[in-house]
Amino acid sequence: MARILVIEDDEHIWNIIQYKLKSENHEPIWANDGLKALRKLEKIKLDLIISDIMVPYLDGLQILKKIKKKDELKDIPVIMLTSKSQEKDVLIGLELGAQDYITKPFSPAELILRVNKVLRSK
Amino acid sequence: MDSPKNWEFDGFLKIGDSFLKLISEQVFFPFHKHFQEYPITTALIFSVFILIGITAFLLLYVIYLRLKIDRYQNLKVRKFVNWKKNILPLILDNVDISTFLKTFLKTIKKGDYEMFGEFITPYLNDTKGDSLERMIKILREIGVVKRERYHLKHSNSTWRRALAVRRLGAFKDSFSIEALVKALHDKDITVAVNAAGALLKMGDRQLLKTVISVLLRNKFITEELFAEALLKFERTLNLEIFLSQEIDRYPISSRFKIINLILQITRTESGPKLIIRLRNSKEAVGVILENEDLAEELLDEIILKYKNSEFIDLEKILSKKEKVYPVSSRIKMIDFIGYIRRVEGIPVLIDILKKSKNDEETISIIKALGNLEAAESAPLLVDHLESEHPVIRAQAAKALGVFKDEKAAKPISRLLEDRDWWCRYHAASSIHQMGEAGKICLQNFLKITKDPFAKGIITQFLSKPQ
Repeated sequence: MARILVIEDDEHIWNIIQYKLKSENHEPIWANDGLKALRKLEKIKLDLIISDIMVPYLDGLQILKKIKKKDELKDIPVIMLTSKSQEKDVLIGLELGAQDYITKPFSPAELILRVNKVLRSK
Repeated sequence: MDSPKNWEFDGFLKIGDSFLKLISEQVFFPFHKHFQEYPITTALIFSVFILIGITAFLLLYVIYLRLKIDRYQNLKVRKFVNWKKNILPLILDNVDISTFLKTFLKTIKKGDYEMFGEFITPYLNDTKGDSLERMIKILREIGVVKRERYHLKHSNSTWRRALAVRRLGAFKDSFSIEALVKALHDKDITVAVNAAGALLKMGDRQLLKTVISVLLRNKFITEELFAEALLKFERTLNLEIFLSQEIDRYPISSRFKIINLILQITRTESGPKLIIRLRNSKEAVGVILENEDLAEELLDEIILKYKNSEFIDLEKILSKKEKVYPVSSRIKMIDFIGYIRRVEGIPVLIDILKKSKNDEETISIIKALGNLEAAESAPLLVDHLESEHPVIRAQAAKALGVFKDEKAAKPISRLLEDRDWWCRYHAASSIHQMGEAGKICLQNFLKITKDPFAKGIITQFLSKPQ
């Protein structure tokens, strides 16, 4: 079982991810904006982060930068969630140290495969 | 004898009569009495009461609507929570359809199918693969897709038709394609644009072609609406490449719409890269000409590169009556005709000079005509010696000097006494270029003029070798 922070402002996407992660016995935690995500990062010990690029207040790339700067957080793997028009940002995300990315619309089954793969390689 | 029913009826009539009597005595009779005594005041008071009555009625109606909406919203929230808990997991898991339908029919009443369509649409937009296919299959099984198709076909409400089109697009139901293609021709533009977006969500290139050709024929669809619809294409990133490859298939009048769309896609991120890719297209030139910033940046390069190509027919572009480009772009083209000494441009330049009301453009044409040594423009240039704008007068004199036409010496000599130094200078210079005849003209003028500035400039030029 892994504790996974999902940074996503779209409730429907969160509903899908939440259900799929729970069905795999993971513990999903929701942050619907960048600032809430940072607060949760400080308080909770996490195994994985799934982050949308476009989230309010602090975008996914800024969060990723902050994570990679902190020694206690830098080893948490990050999967970026992105829409097609943000594919350029994915490259930046991967350069910044994200482990993988998923484009929206996404297949819930594929998401789980990727999550498990990243967790195994941790 | 009266039956009990009739007796009851008579009783009601009596009560009604007494009530009306009471009203007329207590309300209308005093009102009638007051109206005879104070007609205006009574009428005013009566109007105020009517207004208060109408306002109260409207207020109550608004409250009623608000309560109705709130009730619907609360109901919706409750139902969505329930469906999220009980239905969504069944969709996301690999439960077989018949098991799913059993639970579904237990949980959701037929009257809630409309609301269920609303619930499921965002999930359709966010997912792909098996889950999406299952959702669509379910929607088909329970008749939601059919219902939306019915609304699209039969609803008189534009709003409902547009909603049906949007939902069918979200359902990505291949059986609805025919209905959506029909909806592209809907008399209402909202429905047509949404139908285009719905078809494009399916991400099929063939559909993209159909949508573009139908939209381009619809004169009410602006560039913005056109772009809005096309940007729904599933593979948006490939859209501009597709359009740039396909562009030649569309009539010229439509190509501007497409290029503007391409610009809209590319401008935000990668700048005018696409325009550079499209530089061998005459439509790209058209768009560049229309956009002052782009013209400033790219026009010189394009004209230079393609000056001999058929599509960069500057004269044709300049003389277009149906399309007048910004002055800055026109000036660039005019300057260019003069700069490369493109003699084919002379008739067009003369024609524009006759009509032009813009000083900058006029100056540019006169300069170009001078560079082209267009002697046939001399009579027109002589007219411009009378212009109120000093630069126009000076440039006309300068251009006439290039032609070395002695007949022009006399009208130019009038500028030797011009209030503007620049005009006097060019007048003297032009006449001086006309050889012996010019020299004689200057000498004669020197004898008769009393203007010390004219004398000064003439003396200066007469001392110069010719």
